Amino acid sequence: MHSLSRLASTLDRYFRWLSLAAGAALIVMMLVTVADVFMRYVFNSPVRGSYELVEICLLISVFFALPQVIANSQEIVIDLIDGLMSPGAVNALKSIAAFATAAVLLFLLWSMLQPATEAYSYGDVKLELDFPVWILWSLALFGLANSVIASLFVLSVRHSDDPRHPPSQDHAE
Amino acid sequence: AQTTLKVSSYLPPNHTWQKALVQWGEELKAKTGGEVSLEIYPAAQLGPVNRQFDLVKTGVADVAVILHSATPGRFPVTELAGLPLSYPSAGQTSEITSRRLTELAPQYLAAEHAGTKILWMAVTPPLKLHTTSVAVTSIDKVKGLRVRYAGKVFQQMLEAFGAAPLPVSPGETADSLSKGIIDATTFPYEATKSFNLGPIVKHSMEPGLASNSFALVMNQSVFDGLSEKSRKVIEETTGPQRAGDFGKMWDAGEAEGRAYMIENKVSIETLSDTELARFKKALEPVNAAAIAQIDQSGKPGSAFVAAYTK
Amino acid sequence: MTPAFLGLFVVLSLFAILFCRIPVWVALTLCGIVGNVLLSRLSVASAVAGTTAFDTASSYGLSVIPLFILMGEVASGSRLSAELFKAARVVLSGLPGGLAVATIGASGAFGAVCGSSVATAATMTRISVPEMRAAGYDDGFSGASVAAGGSLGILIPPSIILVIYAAIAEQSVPKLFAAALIPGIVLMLLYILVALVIASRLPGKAPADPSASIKQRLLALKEPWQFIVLFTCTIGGIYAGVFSPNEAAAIGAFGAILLGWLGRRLTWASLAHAVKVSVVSSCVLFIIIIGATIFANFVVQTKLPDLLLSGAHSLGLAPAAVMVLIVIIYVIMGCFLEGIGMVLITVPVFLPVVVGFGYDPIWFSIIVVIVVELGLIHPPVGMNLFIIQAQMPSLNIKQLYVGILPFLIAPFALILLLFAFPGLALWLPSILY
Ligand code: NA
Ligand code: NA
Repeated sequence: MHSLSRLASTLDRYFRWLSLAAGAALIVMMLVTVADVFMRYVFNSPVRGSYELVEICLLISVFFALPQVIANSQEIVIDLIDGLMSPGAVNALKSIAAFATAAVLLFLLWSMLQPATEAYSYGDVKLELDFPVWILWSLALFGLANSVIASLFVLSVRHSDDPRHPPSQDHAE
Repeated sequence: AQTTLKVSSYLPPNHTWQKALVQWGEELKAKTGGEVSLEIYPAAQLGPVNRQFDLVKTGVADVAVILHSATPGRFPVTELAGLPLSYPSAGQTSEITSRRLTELAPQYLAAEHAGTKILWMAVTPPLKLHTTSVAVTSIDKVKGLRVRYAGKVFQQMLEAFGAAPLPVSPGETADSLSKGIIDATTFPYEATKSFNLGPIVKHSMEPGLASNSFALVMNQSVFDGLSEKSRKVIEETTGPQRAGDFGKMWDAGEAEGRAYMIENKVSIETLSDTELARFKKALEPVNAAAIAQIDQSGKPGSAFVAAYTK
Repeated sequence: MTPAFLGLFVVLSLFAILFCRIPVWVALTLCGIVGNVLLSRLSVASAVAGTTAFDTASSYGLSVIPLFILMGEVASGSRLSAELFKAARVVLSGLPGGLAVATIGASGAFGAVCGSSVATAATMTRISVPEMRAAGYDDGFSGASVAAGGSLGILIPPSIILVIYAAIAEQSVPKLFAAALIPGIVLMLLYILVALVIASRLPGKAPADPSASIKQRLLALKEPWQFIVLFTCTIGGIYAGVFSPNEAAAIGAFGAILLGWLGRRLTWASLAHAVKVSVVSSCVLFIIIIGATIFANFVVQTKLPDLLLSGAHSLGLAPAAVMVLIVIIYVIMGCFLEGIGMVLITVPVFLPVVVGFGYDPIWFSIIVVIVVELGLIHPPVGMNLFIIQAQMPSLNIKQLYVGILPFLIAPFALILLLFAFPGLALWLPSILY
């Protein structure tokens, strides 16, 4: 139990670092767009490749925040049924949900391998930056692989019935 | 056995491609006695524009319309057909260019469409430069204009002319022109009506500058799995002849769009030969660099351009 | 099994597993993958799933989502929302239920810089519920006015739901934002009307407030100048065609940071918190969009929408009857489902039907947003109600359920108004674009 909680805090710190990178990507996305508008109106010369930089930043911010979202079980869940069932049954459903999450993440990871290798072998590039697309795929795969780890951890903690973080209410409808 | 081929297109249902696909589908059904029919998914229902080729290769769709410039780096030789102000000596109508590209496909382009069978290729009528204030009668008039563009070729070309390229989405073009955010845009005549450019644009420059290329491709193993009779019908109803006929449809749309612009009192300025030569000269280094880059990677860049522009 | 029936079967399974607490994004992805395997084969399902995740997360058009979320979070972290409430409170003092009216007005104004209803409700709860309690307001009434006011966040532009709708329906975001403005203001006025009626008919709910002088009122209007600058530079910039929505969102987030920093109201810690919350919120949204896109790829291939359309035609229903039916389906689903998922699942299915019966897709987008808003405040699953309760644990959820009931009249009234006068939504986009 002790080693599990140590692992938990190490992973937690690691995933927090990853989401820090996600936050940095969001800030860069904002600054690039602001700079682009400024350069366009003031100097009549927009920032080259700003669209593509935004796309790259968005990709990083989504895939690097994902491990923490999974680890903290922050996904949106419809928990209408909770009041109608015994706590044991709810826990059983939570385990099934954790299993399904891990399975779906693994399937996505496996599915992304082929297009990633194709992006490499075809030599796909981002139009204006001349930036190789396979690097972006690697970043996405890295984030997803960490999310798989996070989901497996959630699954194993569920089985050992450790109390989890309460799900956060952060989302934006 | 009866086969229904899933056809994917990222274009809207009122586009020329849709009409051509429907027409081809009816022909296939009649000539194979109902053995082969098409089920068309327009408007990117099966995937975004840059995934259309992957859809066919992975078998999500059996046939798809692909826009080569949507996946930069993947069709380097084919994209040379879109080099600015370079087209077959026979002319720059879509009928001529589409047919020529389809004829050259087996020799030069099949390798970069591996895993698929090219049914026919299509080259758009070249995009024209439309302006709101200046009539572009010489290359000097382009200098400093803020021009909406799409794609790297157009960006490099506009920079070679001394213009400032700005990315604006097609739907926002009319608005940006009328508010003076941009001074000019590149568009084929055919699309000017649906984006409401007529009342805003004052001058259009001819000839057109550069084209986009498309291919209609089919999954090779799906094709190989069809009966001999069906394969023969597909061979007969596709290829250079079909490409030429399809190009004609596109040219007709272009003529209609041109008439629409004239109705809206847009003046059409045709460059004199000496001015056209100045435009071409400004492009020479850009085009030469593009071809050299392909040659260096061991692909038949200059051989293809020579054959295409012959 | 024909593809259409397979589609129907998978859609029903989706609802079943959603109720069994499978996360929304997992349920959508899973059903999309399994559906594609059954309809085609494993390699097809894998090709769709693998590319969709990558393409969605690197789509330029969707970058507007995290940026608008950031703008709202920074505005709230630098207490811009508190200033709004303070000003509204003085200006509207003396009215029956003045604090509740001020809450709804300030929520509507805050909704003009924040794209999310849940975020608007969360912000306004922290600011106005303690004030209303101190003034002796009934808990159910004050909580309900925050819930109702907060729901304006997705109708008054910017709106994340409208950005997502635009992506699915291939519509222009500026046009949708223009269409939503007037209905948003009308709904705010309707909510205020409800609050006024409750406060004046049931005096126990809201003790009277001392009335401020004209001079005090005018002075109070000076405070929220930063908010007006921010709104004018962003949404105003979109309407004027100066910025694209993406640019407006980036400039809005940047401007909010700048204003907070200049006014010494934004600390490093609160900025870091705003960024963190924005990243998590948008990641949570993006995985749902990815799941829904995979699911929609399957549904389209089953031709289920065509089946529904031909079914409606063969029943000989009038267009208006079909629309009423669709609204009823939405209201029922909204009682149980969460909004973004609901939009992503249903719009690809319903939109062809709606357009097939001759309705304008822009008009329909506003109807969709209103039913989503209704879902946010409608018991039993009302995300805004939960958010308010989570932030104010001493507030009783049953009181909230009762308190919100009269406010539900307003969105229904607005839907009727939109049926009678489609121009409410369509007039502004027609003169602007
Ligand atoms: Na809003
Ligand atoms: Na609800």
